Amino acid sequence: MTYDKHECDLMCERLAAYLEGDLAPEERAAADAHLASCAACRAVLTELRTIVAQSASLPPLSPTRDLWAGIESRIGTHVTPLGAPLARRATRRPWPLAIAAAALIALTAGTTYLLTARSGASPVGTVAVVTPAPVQRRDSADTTSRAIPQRAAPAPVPPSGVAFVTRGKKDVNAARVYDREISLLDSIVRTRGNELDPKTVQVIEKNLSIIDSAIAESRAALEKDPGSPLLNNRLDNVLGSKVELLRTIAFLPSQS
Amino acid sequence: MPAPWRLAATLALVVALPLQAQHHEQRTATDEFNNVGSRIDTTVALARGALVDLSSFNGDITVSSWDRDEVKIHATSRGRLRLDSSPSRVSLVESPYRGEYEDDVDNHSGYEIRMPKSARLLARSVSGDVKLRDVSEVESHTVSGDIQVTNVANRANLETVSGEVTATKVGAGLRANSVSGDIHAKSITGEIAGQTVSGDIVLDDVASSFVRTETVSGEIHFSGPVDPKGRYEFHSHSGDIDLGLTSGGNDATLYVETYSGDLDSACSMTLQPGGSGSRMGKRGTFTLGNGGGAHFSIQTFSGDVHITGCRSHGEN
Amino acid sequence: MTATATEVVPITTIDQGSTDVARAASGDRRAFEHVYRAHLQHVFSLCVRMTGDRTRAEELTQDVFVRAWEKLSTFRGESAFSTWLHRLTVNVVLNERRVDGRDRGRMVSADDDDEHDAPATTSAQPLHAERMDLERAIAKLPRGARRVFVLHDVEGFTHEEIGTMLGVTAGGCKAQLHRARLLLREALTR
Repeated sequence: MTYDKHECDLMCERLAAYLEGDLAPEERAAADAHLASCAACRAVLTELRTIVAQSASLPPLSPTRDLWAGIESRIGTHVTPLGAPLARRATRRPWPLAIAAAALIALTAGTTYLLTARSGASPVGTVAVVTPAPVQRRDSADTTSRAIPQRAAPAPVPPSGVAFVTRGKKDVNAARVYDREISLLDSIVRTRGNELDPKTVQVIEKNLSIIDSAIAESRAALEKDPGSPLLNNRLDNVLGSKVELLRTIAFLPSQS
Repeated sequence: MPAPWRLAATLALVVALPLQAQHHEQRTATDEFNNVGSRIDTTVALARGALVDLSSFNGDITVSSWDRDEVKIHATSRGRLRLDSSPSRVSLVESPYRGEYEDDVDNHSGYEIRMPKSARLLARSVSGDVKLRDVSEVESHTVSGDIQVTNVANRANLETVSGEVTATKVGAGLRANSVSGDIHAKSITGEIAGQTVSGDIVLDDVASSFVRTETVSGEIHFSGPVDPKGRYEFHSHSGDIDLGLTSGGNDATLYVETYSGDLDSACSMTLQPGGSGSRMGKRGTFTLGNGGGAHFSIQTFSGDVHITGCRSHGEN
Repeated sequence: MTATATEVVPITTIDQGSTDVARAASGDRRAFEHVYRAHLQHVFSLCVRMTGDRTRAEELTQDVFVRAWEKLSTFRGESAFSTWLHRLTVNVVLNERRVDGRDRGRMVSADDDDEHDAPATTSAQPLHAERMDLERAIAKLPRGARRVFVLHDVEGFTHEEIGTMLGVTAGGCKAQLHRARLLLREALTR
């Protein structure tokens, strides 16, 4: 009854695509054949299906305490104290820029989502609406010397479609989304250059370039070895690091 | 909630928010506004398990604890300080100085705080260092300031861009993130999660059974005993990974994968070159003791992997 | 003190609901409380499952509704309010680490949270165990896998949507999903 372990390992890897209905007909037939004769893999499949089914029908959960009071106190008609500071939530989120950036990111994420959900095509346009207007620049004196990733912009991610040739069509699409996300964040980040400490800017630039070369290396290796889970995994992680770093920058408190 | 809370002694200005009748939660605020160049010296009461929330720009934040249910605050700033206190939360925020900002960094800026042992702490600073000890639970963020925590009873969550993070004796989990700063952690129980871009991660004498680390170019060093039920993940792109296992006879299985890095080990291992198809790179499965047990996942793109310290007596 | 709502109000259908939303958008706090009661469980469940931490989820739920209140004026009524709120919730959970800091603590360390010493997976459990076990197992997933799993298998987002939200490729998302399912299986069958 036991199959070659190797084959079961392969099956296990393939179960993901099997469950998603992503296998080509002949692959699917091969998988079915294996499943028909291998009880172990069949059991795994059944268990996974059970998990999927149960997860889709999990009952709603309730908090153990009443949360409304806390909400109400925060949305209260804001009694503005004398000599009030700028924002009424300043106590909670003392770094004004972070608020702007948070809103911005939420918006860009939403926008990206809408764009992809609706057409999968047309690029950035809508985002222009949400330039970080609320942020007042205190010292715009030396914008030029401090502008942030001007150099990060050209380098980071090759135009979509290039690098992911070896992945599926859907993934190419996702890669575009990814690129767009990065370029959105990039554009946010670029506006921040003169608000941050020059030394921080240097650190960021250096680390962005470290990430970018890691991305380039991973992609080059993937072209030679498209199926490698290790490489795919590494690339995803490094791309994730990039998004994370860009987000970090977007949310940094301004220097002044 | 019977506890009468004490109003701060040095009120410059008190603004009592009109309480809305239907509020379930009474909330009184003691707001202090000091103008440019400000200083606060006060002590306020705080309920157990409450939150102390500190934000500064370039001043250092130093926190320790004591056995009273009170927060003692000594703070100075060139900008404006704002202190809000209620029994469940004390927050001290420095608004940046809005006037002309000369380059001589104000060396008088900073907070010195003593807080109840049971309170949770949130400490944020831009360039100031954060230094704290003997607190229950902490979260801290800086941009370039260092973060140093010692003896945290529960969880510590630390984040910086270029500062160094040093955590010693954390009782219930550490999460540390940096961009370029190094992360040093010693004697940590509970899960550990560490992430950097170019900073190194050094985990010493770790008693955690769940460790997850990721860097791009930073190195990862790990030493500690291995929990047979533990899971350990060490991933980097180009940083080297260095594991020193003090096995104590425990069993573990290590899955190591690298694309172009070198891999050397003092442990017995079974190497599986390539796997199926055209896969490149190296993959190895190492066993410690009898195998099974603790589960290690080690991945690099080009970083080298060194495994030492396992006096292995497994097969192979 | 109003009792915590236990009744489950169908979310999208009710007219009262949209009236409440409209009134809340114009600043009516009572109406907003109704909105809150109607959507509480949904928002809270999502927060719990995304973070694996009930206490944190309670705080996040509050954040979500505070945000909703602030942003209600931007709700145009083009999509269902529940959809709008759902997306807002996801955004709040994903962004929280940056705004309020704590998430990141969650983000990685919530992986196994405080429960590392209380293995939910010890004694032989049949796979068809209680949903509680499933909830617990979800909470113990690594953060990335948990988010993808919750968004996909529990909440029904597509890989592309999730990829966009999390900033990963659809391929990475699928890999995470599979990993999550396998980990869950392992936890539930061990």
